[in-house]
Amino acid sequence: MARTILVVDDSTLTRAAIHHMVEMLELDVGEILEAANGREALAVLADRPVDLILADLHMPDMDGCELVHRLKTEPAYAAIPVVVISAECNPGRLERLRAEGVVDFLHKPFTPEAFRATLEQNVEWCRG
Amino acid sequence: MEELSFRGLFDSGPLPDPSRIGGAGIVEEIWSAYLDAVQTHLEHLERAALALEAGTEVEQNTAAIRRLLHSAKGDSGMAGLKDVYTLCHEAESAFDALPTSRARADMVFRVKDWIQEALAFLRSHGVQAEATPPSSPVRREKIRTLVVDDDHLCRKRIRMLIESYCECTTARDGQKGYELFKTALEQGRPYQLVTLDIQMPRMDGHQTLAAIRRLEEQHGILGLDGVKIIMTTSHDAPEHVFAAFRRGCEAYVIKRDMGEKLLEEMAGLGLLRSAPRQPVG
Repeated sequence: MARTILVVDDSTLTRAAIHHMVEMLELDVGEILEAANGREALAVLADRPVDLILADLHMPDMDGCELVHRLKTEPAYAAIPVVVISAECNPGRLERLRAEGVVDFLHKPFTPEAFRATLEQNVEWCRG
Repeated sequence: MEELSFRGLFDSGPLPDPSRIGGAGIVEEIWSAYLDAVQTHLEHLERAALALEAGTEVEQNTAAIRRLLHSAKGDSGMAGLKDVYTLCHEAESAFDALPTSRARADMVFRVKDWIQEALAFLRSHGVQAEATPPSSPVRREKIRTLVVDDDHLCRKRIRMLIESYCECTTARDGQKGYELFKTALEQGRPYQLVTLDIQMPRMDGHQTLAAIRRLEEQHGILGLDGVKIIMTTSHDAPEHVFAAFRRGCEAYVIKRDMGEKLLEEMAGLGLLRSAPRQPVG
């Protein structure tokens, strides 16, 4: 069954790069939904079921930390795996996010190989 | 690849010649999206630096410049422009280290000019010339192929069948496939072969085929000069087959026969003559 990914990033380029990587790596993804910030992401989620969320941290309107907090405290979304994609290097902040339930981090800029490895390691349907 | 140093941003020292920019890591598929994104960042950077120089809303414009440098850095990293990534990274540090708004604004102008000149150089010298490593002659001879299918297993299967001969890019639907085809054509690196499924979301195979032929016509590419298009589908109903040929496909392969037929059709179209002779499977 083809899956649905939600990419939350204010950079249109990062969103395009993820589209390209998903194509290139032949992941079983039927649709890639996009949001430019946390608020838009919540609006998408209210409308559509999603199998994986890739979220940036630094975004206008509602940033990634606030989004993760909202997702993990809302029972309808808490089980959706979230991978943070960011250039953020603050270990304390990343630890707090992991404690909230983020499954992993992808440090920007990342290669298709790193993208694949992170997804395979953390998301069951991305394996094999 | 040569490492460029941008330490001159800290003390108004010289910067490397922008024509020394390396393009070897560029991700072709997002290159035009990158150019659009970075152009927008540079315009906003210039506006914020002008305001900073004039002493207008200093705090706001300082924050805007930090954010824009960070965005340009991230986008350049994702697009594979390592030198621009490093330049923006150094610029973020230099911005905080410089003592006055005037010095900061000057530094931002230099960053903007360097990026613009470097990208203009890459555009005028062809991105692909840099992007394809000179040490891979076999790869260069491979047939530039676009595989369009909404089923990832089919994309994978087609890729496996032809990858000894073809350098494959894949797309999940007709619209995405058409966009990739258009970008490649406009960058002077047109695909030589397209395989098209028929039933796909957003834009089906028939529509995509017609759109590709229309685009070629607009570019003055007619008849045998056009890309070779092979329909790969489970639809063997005559109306589908005839419709596809009417819209200008070269061959039609039913998916259940694909193992033998796809390469056979490619050979029939003269696509395998210069390709490396390697076992397939």
